Amino acid sequence: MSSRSDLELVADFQNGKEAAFNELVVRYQEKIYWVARRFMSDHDAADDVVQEVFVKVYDGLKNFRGESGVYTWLYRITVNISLNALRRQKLRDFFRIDEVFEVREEASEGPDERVEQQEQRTLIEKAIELLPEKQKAVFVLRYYEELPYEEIAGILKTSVGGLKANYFHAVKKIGEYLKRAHGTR
Amino acid sequence: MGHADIYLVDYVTGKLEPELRLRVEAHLRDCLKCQQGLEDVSYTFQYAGKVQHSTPASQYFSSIIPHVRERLENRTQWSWTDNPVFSKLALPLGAAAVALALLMNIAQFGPANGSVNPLSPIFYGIEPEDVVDMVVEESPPTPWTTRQTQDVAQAVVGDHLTRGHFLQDALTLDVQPYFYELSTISSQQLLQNFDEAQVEAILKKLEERGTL
Repeated sequence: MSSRSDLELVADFQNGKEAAFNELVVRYQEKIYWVARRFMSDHDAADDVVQEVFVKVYDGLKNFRGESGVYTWLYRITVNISLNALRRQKLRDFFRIDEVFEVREEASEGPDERVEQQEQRTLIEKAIELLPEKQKAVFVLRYYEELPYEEIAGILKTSVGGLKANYFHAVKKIGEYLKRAHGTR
Repeated sequence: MGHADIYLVDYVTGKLEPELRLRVEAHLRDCLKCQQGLEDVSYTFQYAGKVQHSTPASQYFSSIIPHVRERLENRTQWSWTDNPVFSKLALPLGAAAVALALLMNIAQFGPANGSVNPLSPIFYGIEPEDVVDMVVEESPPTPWTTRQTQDVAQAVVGDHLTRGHFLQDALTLDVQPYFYELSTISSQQLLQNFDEAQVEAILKKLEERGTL
């Protein structure tokens, strides 16, 4: 990978160098994947988000003026596309209630360690899924991505104070949900 | 200090300045609400820290660029008004129109007694194109080429929406009135209310899905 900065790559792309786009993809694909994965909870759905993000990035790069960093811009697109995908998923689940139940039953069988890990994952994913969109986004970006509040504020276009409150409520709600699920509340 | 809510997460994760940390600790000694908050926050971190997420296969990341390039190449630019295939699209377009109407009007459906629509949480934040997408993705391709009438279009969507015994079993009776008015919607009338951009977006999706 070259040592060219993000903005240099953007400029290269705007000057007709297609390879610069590939380089941006390689540079950010893992980060984007993991953000999408935290939102989407399964690999295929996350993969779809990743591809959609980069298609959108490709279109947007021509007009990218650098008002925010490339990194911030990419995160913003990823969060928006992930939230849209979640809305669609919610709608699909609503119209396919039987299938949703089947999937959940399958996920809860067997006592071995792998299944226990899967159950724990499912539980926390469910807790995150139940959060309002903004809290969900803040939780993913802060807890999993460990981004500073200031950066998250730039991505979600909101105030740091509001973010801290959102983050607290997200973490608290997840704790409450987990406790209820474990019968400790 | 007032409640220490917004500092609790940073307190638990050790990211507070020493002075603020002392103030939070002083507050916690006397505030039951914040003590409860602290307990919930701690529980989350304790639990979440143990959960490991499965990583994708090693070759996955090298497949992203080819897939993105493929998506970019598959996109086509065309105008529905100039395209002769438009005449063949009446049926799917009608189905999509009903789907759009469902979404755009569902919040207003139902008894006019001021009761809260129980479907609102499901449809909150859903865009019309999401519904169109779902209908187009899920509906079998064959019906599109049969008789092009608004009734058939509506039937396709209706069938889709009621699949999984949705109206019969899955939802409570209080939801059913919210769907009643759908049966009176004419897809042709609905289409007249859409602007060119909306129609073009639907057509594009239909073409992308390869249903024609």
